[in-house]
Amino acid sequence: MKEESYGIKIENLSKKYEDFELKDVSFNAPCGSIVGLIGENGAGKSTTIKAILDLTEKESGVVEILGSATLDKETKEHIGVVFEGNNFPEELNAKELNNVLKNIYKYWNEEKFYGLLYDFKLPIQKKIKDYSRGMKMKLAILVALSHGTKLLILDEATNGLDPIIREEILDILLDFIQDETHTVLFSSHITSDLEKIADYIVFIKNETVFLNASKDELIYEYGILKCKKEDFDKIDKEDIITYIKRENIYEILIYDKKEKKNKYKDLNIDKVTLDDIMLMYIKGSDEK
Amino acid sequence: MKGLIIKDLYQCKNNIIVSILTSVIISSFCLLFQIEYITPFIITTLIGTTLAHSIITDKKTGWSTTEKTMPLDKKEIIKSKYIMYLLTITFSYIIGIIILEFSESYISEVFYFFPISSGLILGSILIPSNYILGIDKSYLGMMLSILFTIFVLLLFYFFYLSDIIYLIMFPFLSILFYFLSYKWLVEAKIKSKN
Repeated sequence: MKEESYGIKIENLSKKYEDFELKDVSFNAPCGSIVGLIGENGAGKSTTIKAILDLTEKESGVVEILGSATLDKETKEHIGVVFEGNNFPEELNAKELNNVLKNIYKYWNEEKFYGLLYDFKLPIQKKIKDYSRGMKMKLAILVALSHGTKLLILDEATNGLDPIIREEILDILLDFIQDETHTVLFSSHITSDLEKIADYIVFIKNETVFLNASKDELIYEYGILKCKKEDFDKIDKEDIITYIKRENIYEILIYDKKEKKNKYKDLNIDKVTLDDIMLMYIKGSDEK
Repeated sequence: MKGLIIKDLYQCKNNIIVSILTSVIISSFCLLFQIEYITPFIITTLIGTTLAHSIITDKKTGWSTTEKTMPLDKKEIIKSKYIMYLLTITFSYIIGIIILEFSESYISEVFYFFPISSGLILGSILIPSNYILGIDKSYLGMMLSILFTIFVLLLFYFFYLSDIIYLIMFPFLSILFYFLSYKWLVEAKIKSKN
């Protein structure tokens, strides 16, 4: 396997807090792909990202970033990170921020920075504190893209943004990933965004990786079978992954939608969204 | 590190300007009441603490997390604060001394080292306490550093030996405190993952 075929490689990452423990998290983010990290609040998404970026000490596990087992300065030159909320000193304007960052990053591309500022219509002389939320996020992303970035990590970066801004950001990410040496790790509650652009989904549940699959597999293979009690009793229990009972209707999460459609010709099997899969696994019952 | 110093300059410039203006007003009153010898202390403290407070501002704005993802090590981040603090107290000291020159009173040469030395002692406690105590308890750090500085000054005042010893010992001790404070904070931060 050639060097740097993975933007991120994680094996058995564990991190313990007083009331929380991330256990044996393992997944990879291949180069040229967008990996979406999903999970309910408190599942461990941000902790995973902090451990990847060495912002918190891990108990055990191996993290490789861009082929390097240590997060040294040279590796950090090529990592762009965007956190939710504020990322920069708010008293500065974009021009001053450029002056700061060009003296921090070796590969800072001033021309690209100003080009992106122009494309995103962000004012240069206005203080960051006077930017709207969407503008601050766009600024954070364009900064992350302006220093020879190969790995882009976004931690809940699109929360609270309107659909138009989010769409613009998704376009930026799709453009970024056109280069096969680039990788994106995108943690988000807005699973519809991940459905649009992600190649792989990692679902963190109960502080560990619960599901790790390609997005297409999740969307096309999983389905929701809806039926009444009489039909529910007739369904082969091996086919039920989990189910939710809503009044008189059972919603059953099934796998291999095509096969199940042939098996249960009289029953309705709907397409799923990532939200549906998450909800079913978190709220559903597997009592058969 | 140059980028971090530039960042602090941009971030603190408004506060520094306000501190200078405040210092000039206070100094005028001091000159009026012939207690001008405290002017350099006031100016050094006012302007120096502006920079030290930038550590708290960095935490509030999320910059302290962002900078950890950049190609910077903890030593550089901390060093930039100590260098920037040194630059600001030196600048404020020069302003204080210029104002003193307007005074008609005789000021001993020994005294000229006191303001910058006390600024170094203040910073040697203020900078690490702002890092360690965090946003909510930063006022404690301020109080601790001021009290400690006053304590050291009083020690030298009550145990006066000679002008020569003052000229040598006080600046030497203040530089030593400042350097040890930097070394200790770097070690502490490298050991911790925060």
